[in-house]
Amino acid sequence: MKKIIPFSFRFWEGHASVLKAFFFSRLLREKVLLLALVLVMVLTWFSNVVGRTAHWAREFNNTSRELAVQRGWLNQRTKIEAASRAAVEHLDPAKTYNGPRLQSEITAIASRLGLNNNNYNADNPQTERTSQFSKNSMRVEIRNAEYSSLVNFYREIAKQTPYIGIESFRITVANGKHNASLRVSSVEIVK
Amino acid sequence: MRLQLPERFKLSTPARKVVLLPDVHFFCRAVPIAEGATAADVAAQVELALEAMSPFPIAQLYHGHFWHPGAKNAFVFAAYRKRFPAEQVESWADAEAVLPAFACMLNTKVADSTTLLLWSEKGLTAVCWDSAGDAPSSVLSRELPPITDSAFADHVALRQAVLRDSSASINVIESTTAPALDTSQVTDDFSFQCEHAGSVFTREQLDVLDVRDKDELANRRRARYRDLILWRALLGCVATIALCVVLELALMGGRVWQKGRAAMVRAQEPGVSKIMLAQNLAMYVEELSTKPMRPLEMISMASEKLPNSIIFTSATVTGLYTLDIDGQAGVASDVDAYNTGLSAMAGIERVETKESRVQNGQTKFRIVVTFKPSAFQAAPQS
Repeated sequence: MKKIIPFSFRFWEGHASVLKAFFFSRLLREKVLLLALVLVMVLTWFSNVVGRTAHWAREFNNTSRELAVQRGWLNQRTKIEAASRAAVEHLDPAKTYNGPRLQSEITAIASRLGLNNNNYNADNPQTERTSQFSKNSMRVEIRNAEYSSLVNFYREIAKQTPYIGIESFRITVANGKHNASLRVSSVEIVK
Repeated sequence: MRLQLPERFKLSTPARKVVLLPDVHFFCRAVPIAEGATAADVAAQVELALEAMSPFPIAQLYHGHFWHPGAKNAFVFAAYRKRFPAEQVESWADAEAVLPAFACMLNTKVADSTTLLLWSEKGLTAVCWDSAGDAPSSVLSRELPPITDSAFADHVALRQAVLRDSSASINVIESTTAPALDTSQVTDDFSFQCEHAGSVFTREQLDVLDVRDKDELANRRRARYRDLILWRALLGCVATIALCVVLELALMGGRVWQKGRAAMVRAQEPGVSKIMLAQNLAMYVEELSTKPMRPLEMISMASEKLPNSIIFTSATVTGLYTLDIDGQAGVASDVDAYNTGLSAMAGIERVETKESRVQNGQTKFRIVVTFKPSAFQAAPQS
């Protein structure tokens, strides 16, 4: 039975034989030169394409990880929203502080305790919002104060818990005077 | 003026050259071969036989042989070198093989007891096989008589004489054309054709038939092997180029895919950020209600075991239960005593001394105190 050879294979086989015969008929120096040229070209291209493939693979993996993380968060959306609702349901919306109100309350406490412009400084409040509530925070600095003033200031803020809280606190002592840097924050329930 | 590419650089298949020598110059014999012999053994046995039967030293002969594995005989042919003028020998340099004309038909598929008659311009050769699976038993070669008025009758008589001398065969294949290399197909094998018969040899088989100097043939084989390695390296390069093309195409497709995925990440990002923010804020509100930060309570607890020589220079609350203290001590051993004292306190989980150095007679230190969550549960807000 006659062996059936696909046309495409016969085509390439025929051309490869022509090329092989051509290559074998060259002088040795021509063969070596041709091979060297092709080799340099192949090595350059191959290393380049491998580098780009590796870069693409890294990007692909990073994106896959990112998508997996996003999918995780999106899957938890309902749960997190429920947790958010539960976190604020025991708070009285009327007692919550927005940014300006937080700033005025903290400044009022400082004034009541005798901390004036010389040793009290507060930044503008910054706000982060969700659909159910927002968080306002501001940095407060007290300089060259007595420790008792700081304690009283802290106690006054603590009385406002859980509507006002302290996020970070640092105190330094120099020449018997105290400097404090703290970030206070408040929750505002969105009606 | 149009530039012409030199002929040798044109991408065309160079014609393969096989020199077929006149049969009448060769004496031929069948040589018995020991059973189980390899090709190398056969070559050695053939040379021994030639030395025994030839009137000339083997170095003065052009010789070759035909044998295939399993055959009981090898067929040897040799010619005195001086029969071939130097100019003719020089023209063999670029030939793939040089062999007597009849030798190119030795691989013909024949039945038992067959004679192949090969007519050429100068003579008639009869190749006789007793057994189809063996080498030929004999080859007879006769020159044609000079052309006369009775040429046809002379040729018939010559044919009869050759057939008679070659012993009677059951089958006779007769070719009125001389065998020639078939150059129509470009393959690695060598195909020879004459009228009614054909014979194909591999490169290795043709090397054995080649009558040229064996050392020169060995050099040519080595050069061919080197060329084969270079060719295979070139094929490897071509395969790598094909791989590069495939990778390039895959990369193109992959980039389009990746672009779509990156767009999806960007599209989902605002929604995900909102969920993350909601989670963080929910945790913050939860902590604010249940676990407020108590920096002064921490400082107060950390001061309970404070030796007289130690003063704090700064205290930083770095987490709900972690206090980072910088201080200095007048007495170096008090730092260790303070550390030990703090570690022994019920509400403290861990005390780590991060730094301790002596400067101007003062020991400056930094310790990180981690409190147990239970330490502040019962404590009311100060």
